[in-house]
This record gives sequence, structure tokens and C-alpha cells, in this order.
Amino acid sequence: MGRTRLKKVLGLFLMTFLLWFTVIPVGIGTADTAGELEGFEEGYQENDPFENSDTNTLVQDMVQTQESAFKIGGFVKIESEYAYNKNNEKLSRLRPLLFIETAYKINENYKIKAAGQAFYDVSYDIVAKDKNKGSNLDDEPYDAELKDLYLDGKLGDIFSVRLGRQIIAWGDSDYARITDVINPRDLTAPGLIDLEDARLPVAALRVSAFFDAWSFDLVTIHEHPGSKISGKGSDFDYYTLLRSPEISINDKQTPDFGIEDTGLAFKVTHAFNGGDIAFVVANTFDDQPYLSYNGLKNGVMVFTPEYDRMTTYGISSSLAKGSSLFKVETAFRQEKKIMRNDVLAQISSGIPASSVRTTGSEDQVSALTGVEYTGFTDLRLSFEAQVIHTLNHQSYLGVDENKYFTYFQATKAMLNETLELALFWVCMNPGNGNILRFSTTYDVFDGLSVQAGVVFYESENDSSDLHPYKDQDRIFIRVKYSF
Amino acid sequence: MKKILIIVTLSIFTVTGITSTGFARLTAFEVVQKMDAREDGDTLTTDTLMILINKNNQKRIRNIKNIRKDYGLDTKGIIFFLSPADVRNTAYMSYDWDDAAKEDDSWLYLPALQKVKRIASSDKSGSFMGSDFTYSDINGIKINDWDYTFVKENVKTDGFDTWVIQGLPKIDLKANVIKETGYLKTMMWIRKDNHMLVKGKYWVKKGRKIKYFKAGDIKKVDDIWTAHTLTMVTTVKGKVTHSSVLKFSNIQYNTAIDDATFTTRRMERGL
Repeated sequence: MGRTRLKKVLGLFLMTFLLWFTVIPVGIGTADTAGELEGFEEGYQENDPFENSDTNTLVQDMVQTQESAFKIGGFVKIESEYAYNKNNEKLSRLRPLLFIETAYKINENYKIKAAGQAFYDVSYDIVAKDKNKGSNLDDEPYDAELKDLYLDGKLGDIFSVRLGRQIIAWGDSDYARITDVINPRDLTAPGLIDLEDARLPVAALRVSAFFDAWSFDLVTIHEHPGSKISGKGSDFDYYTLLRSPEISINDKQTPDFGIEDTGLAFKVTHAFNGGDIAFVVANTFDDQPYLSYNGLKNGVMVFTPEYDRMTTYGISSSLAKGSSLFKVETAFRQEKKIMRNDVLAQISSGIPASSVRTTGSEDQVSALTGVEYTGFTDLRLSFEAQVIHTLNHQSYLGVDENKYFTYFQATKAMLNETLELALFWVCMNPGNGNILRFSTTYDVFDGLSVQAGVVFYESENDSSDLHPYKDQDRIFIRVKYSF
Repeated sequence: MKKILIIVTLSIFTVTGITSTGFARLTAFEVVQKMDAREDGDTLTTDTLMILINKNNQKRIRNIKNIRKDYGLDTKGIIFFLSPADVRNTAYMSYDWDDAAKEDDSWLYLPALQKVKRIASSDKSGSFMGSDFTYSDINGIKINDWDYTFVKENVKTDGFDTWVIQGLPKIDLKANVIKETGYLKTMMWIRKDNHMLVKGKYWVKKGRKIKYFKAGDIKKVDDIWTAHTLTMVTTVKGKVTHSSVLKFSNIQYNTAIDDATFTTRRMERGL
């Protein structure tokens, strides 16, 4: 582990990257085309593939799918993950998952959508049986979740409304949450959760209005589940650094469903030639919990994860120029609760539980800039750099004054888009660690795809958030059939 | 999901309402101009079946709904994917500005992310949805960027008289034209009676491929000549490596289309 492994990982990264670029220049070389047509057929009818075939007969019996008021679909997915580091070698997931989605179009203006999924992780049985490590897995062994359930309506030419459990994705960043303040995220396995599975739906009312190039969104949020985090025993235990016999952490305490706990968010977007700009104001519950101290019980310090309100003022913009899409996104977060690093010292000093301060409320500025480049045929490159700066930073706060993240993704489509290679790299504060993921997805036929990949975690800094997960490298295979 | 482009414009390959009544002597460029200036309606809606066929004759099928509306010389278009299941409800929207100084605006809605995002779309040499058509095929090339010459001035193609015209990138624009379209050279068979492109041959720089195009099932819809099938075949050294067929149905020109159709909210709402 450590530097040698990091070198290997980054070596693999570099090799893969270079491999792609040795293929690409075929299509983007100099346009001094003298002799480029040499060896090509020059005539106007040689090898005409239509000479002996009639393509009309190929399609004459094929008919377009007809639209219907009621639609049902979904997918079955089998996810398998294997932790291969020798200190932690095990089958970490073998999970069949069924996702069902239905929609009913009431009329031209209204429709209802419902979607949900259920899974059962067989690896709990297999690992518990073979290695007696049943508790050392990721999130729940089984679950049934309601994803979307909403009524969507169009009110005249200007207004539209969506009421119910839904995802509302804001912001221009593909990865960071800056003005994307509505939906919490699934943080149970960083690097392993696909972006499409990362956002968690919440019950909300969204009213939208369009006036020419301006659009307005007002959202009231009525459900605050907080981000999904792994619990005790998990390889990605959110509180792994706090685990000890002297500390007990209760289940998280989420806000109620009442009027007083309603979150509010407002966005104004202006689209102009080549770009968009959006302004966001939101008063919502922070999706990341802080720990409140509940006192000593039988000599054990008891904490409870809770959630607090936070006000966000943000701006997000993207600008397309040629083959590049430039992005900037920034937000000012008022009074974000940040965990203190002197909590245990306070408790040890013997002060009453009610006087123990576990958090400080400070303002934060989060800023991101990025670019997405699609100028190479069938290749998409994306780079984003983010800084989170805590204003009035105090030494007792459990975060660095500046936290840096960089995200890099390269996606190459091949074989008429049946094969996709993807590389994703997250780098946390220089020296704090890296997550590197390489995957390939092959569409066997319409609806059936197979994805295989590997995720590396690297961190040498034992105070880094990523350090506890440094031995959690995974290989994974996912087979998905959509219907 | 990669970017998806403007099948909604159906520009270079599909329709023409112009019917010549006499054949004055035209230059090759004038013929191409007439092809480019075909009548294609102020609005268009179609259902499209896209069949992708690999060299083992395995087929993949996509169902698409296309909606297009002209605003003077500008065009707004939106497409919705109806199937297969893994791309269902994906939507692509574009504003195609006539003003050359303005870059086209494009947005993509990915249902898996439930997010609309703007995309940069200047490179048009990439495959359109995994097909043998490129974005430049679908969106149309800039005819002024090419030099045209007659190869044959009268060839029977599917029983109709056609011109055969060769296109080469203009010397001073060569680098950009090849980078943008991917083509070193083109050859077009254009019908003399209605100026429709009915057949094409394209020399592709990347991979040294040759692609063959054919428009079929040509008939009038709402008095506008319309090809109901388009086929593109990719070959390498004379062997077919992949082919794609677009089949259009429910074609409707000049129907009333609400301006609210071309909004990001509509992309999210779907059909």
C-alpha cells in the first residue's frame, strides 16, 4: 500500500489514457490531405452495396412503437462486487435488483408516474456462511424503496407543476453538490454508486414557469431523509473514525414531515445563445448530519446524527464554445453546522452533557469551475475543480479551512456505441487521497448490457476522510436487462 | 449517454418540393444549392424507426419521435426516444440559428439522472446515436464550404435521371471542413425532377471507410417530396462493416406546434 500502490494505480490511469489517445489522432490529424485519398476507391459506383439489395424490404414489416396512455417498464440488474485486498478479501455484494417504472398519461396536460425498486443482497448469506463476516458488508441486505411517485401537470402555456416524490437536479456540475440542494445523495459506497443512482428522491411540490428565455422554479420540500450513509460494520462506515467501545451512535434522527420542517428553494434561470445562468436561493436541511451528544449511558458516550437547516445562495452557469462546455458554480452557505474536533476533550473534562458543544455554525463558500470537451470523435472529457472554504475558520473545527476536490472523467464510445470505456478520477485535497474507477460497458443487444470495472481507493494521510477506506478496492460486474 | 443531434431537421437527406419544369444548364454548385433550398415545411413531426445492423446482421432498433419548427430562418427541434428501454424518455433539444455568428444551442435530458444539461455540439463528425449517420449527415453540411464538379450529367438511378456531383472541401477551409464533417470527399446523386439527394458516397478520413447512402420510398406528403427510408452503409476495403436504416412514418408538415414544446421543462415532462 502507499506510494508504490499509488504509482501503480496512477500508472494504470496514465496507460489507459494514452492508449485512448493513440487511437484518436486517426480522426483529428492534420488536414493536409495530399495523398489521403490514395488507395481509396475513386469511382462513383464500385462496390455499391445497394447493387444487389433492396433496403426497403428490410424495414417494410417493422413498425414504429405506438404511444399509449399507460406505460410500464424497468430493469433487472445483478450487481456483484468483490473486495480483493488480502486484508479484506470477500464477496462484498451480490445483489439482484428489480426496478419498475409506470406512467399514466391522464390527458395532454397531466400524467402520473410511479417507480420503485427492491433488492436482496445474497452476499450477506454467502459471506456469513463461509467467512463469518456477515456484519462487515455495505448497506442493507434487502430493501424495497419507492423512488418516484408524482403527478405532473401543465397549467396553460406558462406554468407547470409536479407534486410528489421526485428528483429535482439543479446545478451544472456533474459531480459536486453546490446549488444542487434538493435531493440528498447515496453515500454508502463512494466511487461505486453510479451518478444515476446517487440522488435520492424526496416529497416536494415544484411549480415552474417559463417566460421566453427565463424560467422560474419554486420548490417546497416536505421530506428530509438526509444522505444515505453506511452504518456500523460496513466497509464504508460513515463514522468509522469514531467507532470505539466507549462511543455509541444512534440511528439518525431526521426532521419531521410537518409544515415547520418544510424546506424552500427557488431558482431563476436565463438561457442565452451559447449558455445558461441560474440563481438559487434555498433554505433546506443539510443532507449531511452532525452529531448531537446525549450524555453517558453505562459509561458509553451516546451520540445521535441530526440535521439542521442551512441557507444557500448560489449561482450556476454553463457556456458552450466550439466543442467545449465551460462551467462555473458557486454557493454561499450560511450557518452550516460543522463538527468540532474537541468533543471528546469536552466530555472528558466532566462538563454537563447539555454544555457539550459538538458543532460550530460557520459560513462556507463552495466554488467550482470545469470544462467538458467533446472535440474528439466519440470521446468526452470532463474536468472539474472545487474548493470549499470555511469562513471564520477556527482550530476546533473538524474540517480544513480549504478542502479541494478535482474530478476527471473520460468516456470513449466504440463499436457504434455498443462499447463504452469510462475512467473516473476524484482527487481530494492534495495528499488526502484518490478514488480511481475504470469501467467498460458492453451492450450485448438492445436492453441487455454488461458492465465490469475496478475501483481503487488511495490515501496516505490518516486524517483524511478517505483513509479508512484505503483497503476497500473493488472489482465489480453488473448485468442489466431493461424492458 | 453521448450527445444526440438534429434528426428533427432532416435536412440534407429528405425532402424537396421543388420540381423543375425545364432543365436550363446549371452548374454543379447551382444543383447543390437547389437541393439545399428544398421546401420542407414550417413544421414537421415524424416517428422514426432506426435500425442499426452490425456485420453479423444483428439488429438494434430505436424508436424516436421528432418535432421541428421553423422560426424564420432559425429552427427549433426536439426529439424523444421511445425505445429501447435503456434510453426511453431521453430527450434532445436544439436551437439551430441561421446567423453563422451564433453557435447552435443544444440540451440533453437524461432520464436516469433526471437532469437537463447543455451540451457543446460543434463537432459533427461523430456517430449519430451509434448509427452510420454522423451529426453532419443529419444536420446538413455547409454547401459553401465545398467545391462541386459534375462526374456524370445524366445517370439513371432507380429509373430517374440524376446528376452525379463530386464535392471536395475548399482548399482554404479543408482542415476545418474535414475535422467538422469527417469527410475527405463526397459524391451525390441528385434527381433532376425534384432535386432530391437519392444516393451518396462519402470518403471518411477516420478509419479510411467509405459510406454509401440511399434514399428510398420517395413520395409526396402534404405536397412535399419525402423519402420514407434512408440507408447508410459503412464499408472498409469493400466489405460492409455496419449499416443503418431510418424509416419515417406519421409524417406531418405544417401542423400547429406549441412554442412551449421547445423548452427544457418539456424535455423533463416527456411526451
